[in-house]
Amino acid sequence: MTDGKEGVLYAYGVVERAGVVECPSKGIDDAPVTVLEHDGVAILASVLSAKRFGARMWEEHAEDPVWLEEVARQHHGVLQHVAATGDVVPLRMPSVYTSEASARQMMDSRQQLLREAMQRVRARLEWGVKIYLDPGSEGASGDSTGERPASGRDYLAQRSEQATQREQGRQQRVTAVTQVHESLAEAAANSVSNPPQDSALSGRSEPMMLNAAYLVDRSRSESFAALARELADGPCARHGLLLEVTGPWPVYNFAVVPEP
Amino acid sequence: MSSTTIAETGDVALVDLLDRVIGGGVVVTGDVVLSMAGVDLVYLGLRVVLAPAHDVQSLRGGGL
Repeated sequence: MTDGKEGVLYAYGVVERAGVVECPSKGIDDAPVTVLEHDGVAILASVLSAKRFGARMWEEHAEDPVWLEEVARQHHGVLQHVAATGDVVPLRMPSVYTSEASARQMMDSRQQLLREAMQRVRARLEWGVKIYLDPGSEGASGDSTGERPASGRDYLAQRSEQATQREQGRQQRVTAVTQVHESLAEAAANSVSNPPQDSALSGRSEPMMLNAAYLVDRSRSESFAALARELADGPCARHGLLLEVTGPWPVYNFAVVPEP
Repeated sequence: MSSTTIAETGDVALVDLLDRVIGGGVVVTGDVVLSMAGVDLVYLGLRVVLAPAHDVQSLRGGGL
């Protein structure tokens, strides 16, 4: 690996050690992916062109979604490949070092945190579950009852009753979402409920009612997915909720270690 | 999405990917840091890129 001027070291994630993971043949910018070991810690890394992936390029492309998307997909591709057969703790993009020595220094200073993160996610994968309000079902309990009110007072009474029903429906849906999340969390080793995604970014106009991730034992991965599908067809469908499952993912949501 | 196989990279929705790749993962001090402000900028940039397509869709949904 270079220590030189023309290359930067890009780190994708932390692994137990070399030899226990299956590296993909290519990483970002088609660079080879290798395992760099240092005193009981190991990282997946590529040496990238400093000209194309040095600090200046990240500054230059910080607001360039097209460039970032391409790199993010390649970063994810490496982790996904490794996670399919072995444990890896994702590092947040970008983790770029100007030299191998600089990366080793990081591994030295963060050794304990990285080991602890590895312990937490060992033999586990991440599943994502999102719940949306089904726009069709919301419309079904809408305003028109068909009956024309006989008087202004009847009209107001009707409106008030409809508002009460809507509020009850809303509360029931919120309760259902909470219960679904609790059922999934019980089947998982850990869970996190993230803020709803921006509809401009997701392209979904339905309100998002849950955006959660679950840390699941590999051995229970299948049954977890089956449980999610059961909840989608059962309580969610009954309450006009759409449940979507994604995964399994590398354990992005469970790798976060607070800065000291 | 299939439950048993790990999804192909191309199938992953961009917003799900970015939430995880730049919003998750271990934060270690690298020589380059995409700060929290930087993350927001990425989303802001994306919103600008995606907004026109989104507007067209909502117009269509409005029956125009």
